[in-house]
Amino acid sequence: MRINSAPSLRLAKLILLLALILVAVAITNYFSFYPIHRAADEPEVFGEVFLANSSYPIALVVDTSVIRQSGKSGKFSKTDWSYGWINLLLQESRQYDVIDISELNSEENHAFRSIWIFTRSALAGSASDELSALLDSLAKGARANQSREEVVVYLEAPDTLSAKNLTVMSLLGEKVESTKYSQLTQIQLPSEFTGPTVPEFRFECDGLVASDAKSRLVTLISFDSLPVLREERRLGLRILVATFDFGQMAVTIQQGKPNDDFSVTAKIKKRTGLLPIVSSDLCADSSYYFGFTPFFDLFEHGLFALISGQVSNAPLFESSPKGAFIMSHDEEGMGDKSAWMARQEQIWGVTSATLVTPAAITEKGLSEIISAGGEVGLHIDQYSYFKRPGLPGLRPVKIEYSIIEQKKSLQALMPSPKDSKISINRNHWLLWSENYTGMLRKLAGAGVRLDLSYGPIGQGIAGYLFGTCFPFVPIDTNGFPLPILELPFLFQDDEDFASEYLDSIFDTTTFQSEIVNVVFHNNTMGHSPDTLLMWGWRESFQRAKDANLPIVHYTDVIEALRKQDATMPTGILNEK
Amino acid sequence: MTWTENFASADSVWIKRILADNAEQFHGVIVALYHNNTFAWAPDYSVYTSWQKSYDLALASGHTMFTASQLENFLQAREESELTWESDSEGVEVYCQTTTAGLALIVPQENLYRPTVSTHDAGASENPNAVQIDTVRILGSPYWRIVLPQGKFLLSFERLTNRQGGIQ
Repeated sequence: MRINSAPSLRLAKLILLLALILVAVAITNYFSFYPIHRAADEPEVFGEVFLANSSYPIALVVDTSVIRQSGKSGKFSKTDWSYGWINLLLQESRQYDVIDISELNSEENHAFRSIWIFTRSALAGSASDELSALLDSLAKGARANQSREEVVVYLEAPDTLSAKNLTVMSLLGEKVESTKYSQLTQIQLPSEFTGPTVPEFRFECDGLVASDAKSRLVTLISFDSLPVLREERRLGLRILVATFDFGQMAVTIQQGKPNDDFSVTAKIKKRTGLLPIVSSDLCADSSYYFGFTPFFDLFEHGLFALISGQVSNAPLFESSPKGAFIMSHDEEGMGDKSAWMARQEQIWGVTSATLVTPAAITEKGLSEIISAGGEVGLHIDQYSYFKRPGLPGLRPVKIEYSIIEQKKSLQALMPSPKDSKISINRNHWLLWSENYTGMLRKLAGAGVRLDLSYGPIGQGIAGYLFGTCFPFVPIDTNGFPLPILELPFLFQDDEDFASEYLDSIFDTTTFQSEIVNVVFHNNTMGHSPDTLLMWGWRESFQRAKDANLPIVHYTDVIEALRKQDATMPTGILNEK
Repeated sequence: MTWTENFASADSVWIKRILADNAEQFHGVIVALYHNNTFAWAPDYSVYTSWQKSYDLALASGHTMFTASQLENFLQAREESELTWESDSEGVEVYCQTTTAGLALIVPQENLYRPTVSTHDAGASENPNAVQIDTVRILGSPYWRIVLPQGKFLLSFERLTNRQGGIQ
């Protein structure tokens, strides 16, 4: 019997073809809805050695070789954070030198210096006899100085009290039990220095300096009943020894604290929302989520008063010793309509910064903002704004726009070349990288000078999460400073804004040159309308005026630092 | 509807004029529309302030604030009220029976004295003195505005031609 199989074969082929088409359509559809995510190629700038010598009366002494060596560990607790000191000096003085200890010449006359700060790294690399010789040299300089009675020397003892470190302590003629001091929790301020007692702390420090100045050995600061800052007059010098790691504390609080290996993945796992990781996840301590006291700025202020013997009076804006106020708006892809707030602020006689994702806005919208007196910055979006190459219905890949691409796009939309310098940024969704300082490196690599992505996110969270509202230089994981500034903000309007926020923020007793800056999105009244927000937006300006805070732009902050010849890593003050 | 926030450029000067004109001349029902979603597609702070101010401006110009359902109740009360009159060469007599307080009667003043008010039935409980009478102008012409309590009233208008003198 002969069987003709041709029709059934053709049918089988047809079914196979249809099946393949179906599979292809299914795959295409799947990847259209769930495209493969490709990150942008971003050039990174890493922290670099930063030294500066302009013969200012304050000298910060670091040992770059110790820092370099410690930075190789890849561990937060093992890295040397001596450069954390530059942010105290930036806030309190702005004119200081940074000197590598290898450059110190004992024969050199250092008489013009009034304050020497030897950081942990500088002391870790110094043998005791070298240190004694150095102190002798400084003492000679002090005696040679006709204008000052003494040279202030601040010595930061290393955290693990080895024999070498005990030598440092023995300068004070005192034996130290290492276990006692190693119990200090150095990554947090003790409870008495947080919250509303901070102003009292400042007052108390001033009082101590005045009343105990002639004592041979005075405890100036104690944490949890343990002395951590002591003073002695010796060799004609006023010597202060700190037994806590101030540099690490500064970095931990101002920059946030990662996991010990510089990743922040543990926080990601805890999050249940849409966002993988945001900058506020770096906040080391959730008890700071609701604090409206710039506790670390105040601590720095008090510490500097103890070191220098007088309360600093170095306002960033000459007209306002108490600081300044900046209103900012995130454009959120609203496009030209986002100019409505700048227009209204012009009517009110105030101004703001609008941070823009260059996806929907046009030159017309930017012109409106700028002609109304507003400032424009970048609001990089790597969460919802992607390149989707391919054909309609067949776009299997989504590619992030790099920071540089977004910056160039915004620059191209700016109405005139003079407006095209884009030097400020806030990340959309405050999105951060899994690596502690990875995002800052990318932002620095794209030429961003001032980043504004640190701040509260989450319903009802507001305040000084990072203890500061003064711009600070982030320290990279290698222990060296990055050429960028970070300035945290205080609240977002769409995160349960409450009128009490303004009461707390503008309580002028806590101001110390803070750059108070807040966020009112351009589009909140569209998706979450509330008359409280309209009130809060307008009232914020009024409260700033009542507190005599000038209403400025973010770029004014950079300009003020430039005018004051502030000592900062190369690149931050450069025009680009 | 008298204005919407997004089509009428409703600033407070414009709103003030509309309200003043209505209070002084037209005595109509002003309906303002402020969309709930305006800020989603045409954000403008002046719309917000216009919305806020319009309540005060309306009250300040003598308007009563109604919701749509309150207006409906008012219109229904007017519908249910009774109004008849008789006119001859000496004057006009108007009989009103209102089912709710606050309804007003507007009567042209042309050739009519200020009315006297009495109760319609002997021994009735209504108080004629509770009737408020004043003058309003509609398109420039004077009218008697007679605001009535609930009840039955008789309004008697004497013609000017019956005696010497002018409008009171």
